[in-house]
Amino acid sequence: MTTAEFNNVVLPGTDISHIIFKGDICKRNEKTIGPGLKTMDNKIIVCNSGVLRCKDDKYFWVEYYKKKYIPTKDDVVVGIVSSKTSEVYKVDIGAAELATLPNLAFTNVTKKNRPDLKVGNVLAAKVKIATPYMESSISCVEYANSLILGQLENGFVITVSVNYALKLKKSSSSLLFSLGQFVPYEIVVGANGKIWINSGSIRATIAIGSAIVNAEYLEEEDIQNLVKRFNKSLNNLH
Amino acid sequence: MNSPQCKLGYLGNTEGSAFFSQGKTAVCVSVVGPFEPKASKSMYDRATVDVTFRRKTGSISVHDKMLEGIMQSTCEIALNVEQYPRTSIVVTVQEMQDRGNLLSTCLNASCMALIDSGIAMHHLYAAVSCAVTESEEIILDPDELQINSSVAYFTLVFSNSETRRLLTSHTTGEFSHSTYVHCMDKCFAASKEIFNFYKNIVKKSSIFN
Repeated sequence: MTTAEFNNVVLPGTDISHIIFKGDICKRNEKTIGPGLKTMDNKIIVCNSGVLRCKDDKYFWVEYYKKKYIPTKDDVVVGIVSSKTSEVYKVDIGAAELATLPNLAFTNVTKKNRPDLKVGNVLAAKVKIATPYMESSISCVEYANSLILGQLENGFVITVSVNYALKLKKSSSSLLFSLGQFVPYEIVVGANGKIWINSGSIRATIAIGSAIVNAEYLEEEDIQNLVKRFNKSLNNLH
Repeated sequence: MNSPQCKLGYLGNTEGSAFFSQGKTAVCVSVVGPFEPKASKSMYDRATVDVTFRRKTGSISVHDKMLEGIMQSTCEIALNVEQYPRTSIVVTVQEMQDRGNLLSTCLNASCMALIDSGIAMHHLYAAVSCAVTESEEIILDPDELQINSSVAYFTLVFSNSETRRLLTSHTTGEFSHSTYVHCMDKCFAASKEIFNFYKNIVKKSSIFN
């Protein structure tokens, strides 16, 4: 789509049905609306201020800045254990409520062989149940070919906005790759904006964390400069 | 009208915040949430909206409590509360400097902070104040002196829907019906300016272009 209507700023309360349907009423059933849009009285209304996006002339959504994570099924999130009972762990995943993690929702765990997590431990998990009317439920069970989930030992957790976390997960983001050229590190980027980093030394871990935080609003060229500066400061340490 | 000024994301640790000034009056608003409230406050089918108004010093007066109530109902009707059941959204309005038109500035600032927070909204709102002098002259966005010497003072809030929709009306003093209708027309025209201002700010702060 190259028309002027898309990639433009829209405000809540704006009726955009005329942009989406644009004459072809017969194709009504094929259109899909996503985040930031809602239907009301047969009209499509914007409900978040951001940029209107369109894909294949079929999918429409509003891209907007948000810091608060709203759980979505099958998202991989990073959480911090905040309390435990005999049956479940309560995990802070940055959403409105704590998520529940059943004791048995781990790989190779039986009733006799329980996982040993303590309050304050960090873990990677997948969201299994996500509805606003219930506590969300997460699980660390791994299947064949799935990501490695479970406790993340050592390391350091930083929190960024949800949009930035999604941007980092995209393959087009060069930052994580460029940082890896200079220092080996492990990273888990949760869809909830929590990022877990671990590397050989504490100083390098903190340097990577601050580089990621600082790169949030930078353009691609500036990221390269930031990475160069990052490398210089790391070398000075040795 | 005095051109407003605004900075979004003024506070780091909140979901949304705005520093807003209109004329010589300035306020700072923070939005926190949606988060899990106390069980007694939680509603099973919608979010609770809580607006707190804070003065520069001291506790708030009865009049301030009324302003708080006006802000609360205006915010609540604009937010899409059904999307966030069993949660709470807290809006804190901090007065920074008061030189008249405090209510309209607070309302516009809270709207900007809600935009920044990314919470779903039905519509935006814009508040406009006007004073009526003894000679029936209408002054939009009056200063402190003009308010004190006026016979009537209005604060009207409109939504940004296509048709004219009056959300809130707060009036003091004596006035005739025709004056009120007249003021409404003028304020509605002025509210368009504020919506344009909102759009420019969102455009400027948008990180997706």
